[in-house]
Amino acid sequence: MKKGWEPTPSAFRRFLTWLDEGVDSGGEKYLEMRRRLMSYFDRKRCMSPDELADETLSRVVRRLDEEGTITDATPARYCYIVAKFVFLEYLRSDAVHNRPVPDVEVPCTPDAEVERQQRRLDCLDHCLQQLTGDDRELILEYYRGEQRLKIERRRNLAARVGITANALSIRACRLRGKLETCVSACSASKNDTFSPNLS
Amino acid sequence: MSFSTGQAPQELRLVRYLLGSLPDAEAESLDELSIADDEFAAQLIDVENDLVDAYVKGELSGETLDRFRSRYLSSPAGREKVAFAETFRSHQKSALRATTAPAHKPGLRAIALPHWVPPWALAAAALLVLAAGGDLLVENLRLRSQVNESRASHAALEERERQLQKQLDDQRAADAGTAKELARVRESLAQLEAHGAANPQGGKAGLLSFVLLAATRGVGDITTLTIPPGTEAVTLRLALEGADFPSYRAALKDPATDRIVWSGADLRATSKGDAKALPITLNANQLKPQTYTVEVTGVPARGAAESVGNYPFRVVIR
Repeated sequence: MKKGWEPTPSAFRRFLTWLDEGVDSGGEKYLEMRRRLMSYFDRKRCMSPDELADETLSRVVRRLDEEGTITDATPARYCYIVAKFVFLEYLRSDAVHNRPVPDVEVPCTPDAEVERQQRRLDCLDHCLQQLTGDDRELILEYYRGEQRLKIERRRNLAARVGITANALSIRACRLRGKLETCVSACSASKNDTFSPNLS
Repeated sequence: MSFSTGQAPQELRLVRYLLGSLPDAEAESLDELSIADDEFAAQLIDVENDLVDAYVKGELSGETLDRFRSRYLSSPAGREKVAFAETFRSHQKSALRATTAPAHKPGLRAIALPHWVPPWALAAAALLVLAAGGDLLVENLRLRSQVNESRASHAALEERERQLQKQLDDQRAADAGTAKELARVRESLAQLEAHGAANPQGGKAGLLSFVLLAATRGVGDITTLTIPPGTEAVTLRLALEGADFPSYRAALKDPATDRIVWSGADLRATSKGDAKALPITLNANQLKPQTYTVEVTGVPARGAAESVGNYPFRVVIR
């Protein structure tokens, strides 16, 4: 797999503008595309999905920098096409044939497990406090209760918030993604001064 | 209750996709959508979150549970999502306990005295306690009575809150029914007007107008638009339920091929009383007798565009 090309700041800016398709997302589109690519490679059971996602994005930035523009597909579709090639190359690469034995998770002792859970709970509390009151209420309500009752409950919640069910699910998933990232960073941190910014 | 019960077919298909159970060709088409289609990507992550939550709540069973364990949990990212879901569930459970648990009853605690305190001091203290005991007992009884009264009032208030919440829910359900009925009436009216417009005596020949509601997930009814031959243009008024963006984008798609038949950007909503709608006008010759979907995206002044909804409809030319 070709590696080693580093995007210049101007090439990266051009890429962000192209990905935004005329509406400045403040980098949100880039983060969302990276998340989708990582999930794609993860579902394909690749090792290091984050590296493959970065390799895909890097190739797109390079092509855009060299060509000036890409008109044969929408930005998202073009990213998919490149991701597919990156995946096929991955399948032929040494990485897939010399796959190391996956990490075996060493089970924690009961005390350590309780401590780990408590730490994650503290982190979640902390991260929830970084959300606005409305967002906090929305995510707690959206994921509350039994699955079988969720459709009706979420429909009622959407009506109460005054948005469509689709817009509600997008908002809830976005908030959950932020919380997941925040809790993961917080619980991995040994430092008690962790102060995430969820804005 | 198993996770699969009550799931829409599309959700079950996405669950199978997430667990690697779909045939390769079908999975590949969803691979593309998972990256290139905003709405699909959003739906996929919603289903994934629900699937993980269902696992944590013990709602998965059979093959779904087996596939989840062997496939989903084999990925570090999957395990991380499960760990988060477990933490989130613990948080919700403890929040629930905190709101429902009875007040803590204080018990007697052993008092450790320093070794230098002489025994007579203890006796003197006991006498003082006995002297004050009568007053304390009375005070204690009074406080206990107040606590009981307070608990009774609290229970009554909670009951009242439950009643009011139920009334509100009933009212909301009735409002939603009324809104649907209103939309149906508007649609029928639009159809009647359309027939009138198609009639040479009705004036304004060749222009039709319809009101469309956003599809609700899990509900399969599709509005049918009857277009008389000779119609030149069709205006679709897409009801915006609560969405409020400075501008919108819309794409008319053929769901069978996912081909975009028409698209418009920088579209503005119009208001009529409390009702907001996004009008789009199409050439009637663009519409064939088949099913279509209009996908509407809200474009904020700043930040990422958001999907507002899908408006499926069926065209009948008669």
